[in-house]
Amino acid sequence: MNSENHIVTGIKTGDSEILKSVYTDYFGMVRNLVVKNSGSETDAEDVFQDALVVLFKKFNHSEFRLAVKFKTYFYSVCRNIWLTELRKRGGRNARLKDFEHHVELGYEFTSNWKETQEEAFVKVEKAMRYLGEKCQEILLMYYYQKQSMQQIAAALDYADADSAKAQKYKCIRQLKRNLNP
Amino acid sequence: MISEKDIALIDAFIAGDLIGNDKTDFESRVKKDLEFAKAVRQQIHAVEHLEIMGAVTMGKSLRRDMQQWKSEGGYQPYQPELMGKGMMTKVIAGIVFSSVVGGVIWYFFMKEEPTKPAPVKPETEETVAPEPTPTTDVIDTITTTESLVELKTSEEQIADMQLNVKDPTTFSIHEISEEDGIYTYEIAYDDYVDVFQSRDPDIDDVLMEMAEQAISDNQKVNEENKARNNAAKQQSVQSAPTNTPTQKKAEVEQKAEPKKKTTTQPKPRRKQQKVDDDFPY
Repeated sequence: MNSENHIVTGIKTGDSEILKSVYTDYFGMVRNLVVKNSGSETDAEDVFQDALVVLFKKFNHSEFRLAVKFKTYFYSVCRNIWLTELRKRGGRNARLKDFEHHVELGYEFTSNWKETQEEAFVKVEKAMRYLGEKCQEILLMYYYQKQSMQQIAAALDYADADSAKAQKYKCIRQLKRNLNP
Repeated sequence: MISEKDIALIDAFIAGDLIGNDKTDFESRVKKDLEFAKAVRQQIHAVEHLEIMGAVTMGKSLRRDMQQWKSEGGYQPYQPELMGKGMMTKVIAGIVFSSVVGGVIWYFFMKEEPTKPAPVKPETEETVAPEPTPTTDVIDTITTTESLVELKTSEEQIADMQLNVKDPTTFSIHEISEEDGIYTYEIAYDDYVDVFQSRDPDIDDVLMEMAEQAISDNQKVNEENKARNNAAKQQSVQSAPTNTPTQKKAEVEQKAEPKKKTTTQPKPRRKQQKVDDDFPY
């Protein structure tokens, strides 16, 4: 289970080595699932990418606990993403031929989940552009990379954590205004 | 006005770090303080967007890396988990199916069926009536002897007895044991002793009655054959043509000689009697 935790932690922090090992170990599985169910190689790459984006968000949620093997959970996420995509393409009653055990995720992907996500991304990207570079870095390091105020202070040459915290306060207030004009 | 402390408090709530009274106080303040509630909503919204931004950025970066990893050696060949089990199931099902089909074919086409020979006619030697041996009619002869330890129906068991027993006078049967409604019998006939099992508690009585009936029938057949031979002999003497002097002389000489004893020639019990084509009766 240690290696499983290692993978979870690596995905949470976007560790390049861990992501590479996930690709090496599991892209074949995803490709097989997609290609054997009416998809293409590019579709498989899309599903793999989207699944890791979902995992990134899920693993960074404080209440998330991996209750099954990583492989099973990852397959289940990929399966749901590809099934949603197949249904969106017209196969309302599309069914998948499975090659692995899978679990119920407890959440579903809406047919336009990717578009919604892309819209949110564009919106926040635009809002962030109005912030200074330092603000962007502080916010991303704190909310995306989950770094502590001490780490951020050290990385961005603030006097101490409190100074970094004060700066972060100003940045998030500005971002909130930009997102909700 | 939302303070820096409030922002930190909301961050702690979003991160799930508030517990106990702190969490209760936070939730009650959200209900009472509209400005604070609005700040919480906006901050959750902003953090969610930042997480989406982080995730999508990571995904786009990953896509670029995937092209590189692909060119560096790609991914491991995939071994489907469920396919392996399915294949195993297919192999086992195949073996079972083949066994069943093979068994059915063997049972209907390959199994050697015991052949029941035609009833043996009593053998005669010239005008001497043979004394039939007890090995005729009801319980006939068969050259094969099967082991009878398998569980069979009463009808099958009785059929086996009929086919196997040569000399019913040697037949004996007795029950050895009974367990779960299955009776084990020791059976003896001819030179053989066997053990067989049956669900029929009365099969020993049935078989014993059959053996006694066979003995009785054989005796009747013997007596009938004897009577028929005597009658035929008398008839041949009476209907003989007028003899020539030479023949008469021979006849007188024959009468003068001691009468030839016409006893039956007992045959070996196990030998099948040969039936002549020119059987006179």
